[in-house]
Amino acid sequence: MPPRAPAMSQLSAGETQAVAAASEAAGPAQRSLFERDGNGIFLIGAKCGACGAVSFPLIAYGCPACGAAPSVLERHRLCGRGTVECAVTVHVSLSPALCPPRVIGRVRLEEGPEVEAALEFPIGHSAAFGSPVQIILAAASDASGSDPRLAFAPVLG
Amino acid sequence: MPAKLADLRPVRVVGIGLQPYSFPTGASYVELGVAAARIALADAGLIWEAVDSAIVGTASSGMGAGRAVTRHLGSTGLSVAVIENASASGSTAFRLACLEVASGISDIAIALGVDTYGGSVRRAADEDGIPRLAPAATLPVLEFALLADSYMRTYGIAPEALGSVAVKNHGNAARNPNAQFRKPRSLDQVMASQIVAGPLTALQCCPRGEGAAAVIVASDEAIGRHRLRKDRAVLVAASVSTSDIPVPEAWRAPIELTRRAVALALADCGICPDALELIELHDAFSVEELAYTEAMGLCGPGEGAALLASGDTAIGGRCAVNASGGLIGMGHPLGPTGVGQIAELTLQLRGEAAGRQHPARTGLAHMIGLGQVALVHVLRAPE
Repeated sequence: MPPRAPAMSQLSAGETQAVAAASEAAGPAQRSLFERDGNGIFLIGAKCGACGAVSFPLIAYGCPACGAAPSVLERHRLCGRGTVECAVTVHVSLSPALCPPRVIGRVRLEEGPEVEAALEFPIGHSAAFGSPVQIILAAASDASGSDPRLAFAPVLG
Repeated sequence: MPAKLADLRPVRVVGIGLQPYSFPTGASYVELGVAAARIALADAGLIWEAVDSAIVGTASSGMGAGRAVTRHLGSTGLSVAVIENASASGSTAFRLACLEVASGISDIAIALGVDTYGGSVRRAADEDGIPRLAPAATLPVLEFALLADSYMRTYGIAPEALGSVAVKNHGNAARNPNAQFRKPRSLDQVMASQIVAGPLTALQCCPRGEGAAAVIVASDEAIGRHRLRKDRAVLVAASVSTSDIPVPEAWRAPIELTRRAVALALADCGICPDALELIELHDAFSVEELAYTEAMGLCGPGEGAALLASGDTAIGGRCAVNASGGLIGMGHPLGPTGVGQIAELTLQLRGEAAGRQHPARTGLAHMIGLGQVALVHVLRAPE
């Protein structure tokens, strides 16, 4: 059974409202990472015309796998689903961009690339190895007023 | 086929000098660097005028740091260069100094690592123009916490096994007058310290600080010409510099990088892992020591914790690992760290490491630099 679209239902009412109000607004640095249509949020990666590697994100400098010139990279839409490879909770303030506690993990996307991202798991759910997840636009989880950010949330069902 | 160090003329460490690694004291990088260099000159029995080349490893001192330090030792017209290679800046400075002497370009060269805590460290990866999904995706502590999560699950390792690395290395550092941390720590203390990320507690993470380390290398011709003590000269048997290649699982990248770099270094000087009796390795975070002792071939995959528990990697064991206290205990001031590893190996191989002496004839230094690079050197005791 294909996984159901995730996550918004697992956010609190306030968080849901915040995400809705954010419209398309992820942080400016993240706007090139995804696109959204009626079917959900998709990540924008690349497929290399030289070596065939699928990568994420689409990098302007060339293929991260084989070094081929960017002219041979094709824009490649990724479904945004994957499984958790590893996850840790950050307990101290390591950076202004990361307010603790925050769960950060690596997700193996269905198309192959492994990506590092914030994991938005509701209280009571642990970001266990192998958990199916899907990309969402998460509300800022703190009072910093920062933009919503892309994160992975558990897939239900 | 590229040459290896052993194909060139012999290079020996003839002088070492350290300024203790510490939390900020207000000292300038110039003060620290000059002091370490003077100690190394005195240790070697050399005057500055004999030095042909200075390679300064620093991550935060700023543009033009090379002459800003060395001019206070004398303006002899020597070659001066600065190298930045993240945590491996000092290791790279040492390698370049060795290559200059081995190639015949210089007879005597000094590798000088220096940094202060207040220095402005900018991570280039933060400004590479590539958008990232994760907040703070380039932070080393995060990368190694994720490595720890995968490593522990893959091999069924308990958090206390990681903590035991810190217990050993804080204990060694307590015996090292140049270490930043000087207190032995119990496993309870290590595990009860502030949780930073994942299984890593504060006492399992290296401190940043300030310090300086200097190592002087010389050719046999220079040793003879200056009547230096060959009975205290430590041979540099191998020098390897390499960078990461793609691996299917990201967490294994520094482990695979280490495996490859150490295998190359051991092959270059014709020894097997069993011949290693002393190792200074990049234990910025506790889990690294377990994973790297496995990658170096001291034990099989997943057996690093058992190796540590057996006492084999303690001072006096089969192969002492991080007798200095490592990055966790001695500290990680960046530029000095890799040079300081060479100073520790030299001290040990000469039999001059009073208070923490480990009997050894062959030692290995290993450093990982963010991004990632690996530098490995093999040193042999005086003949």
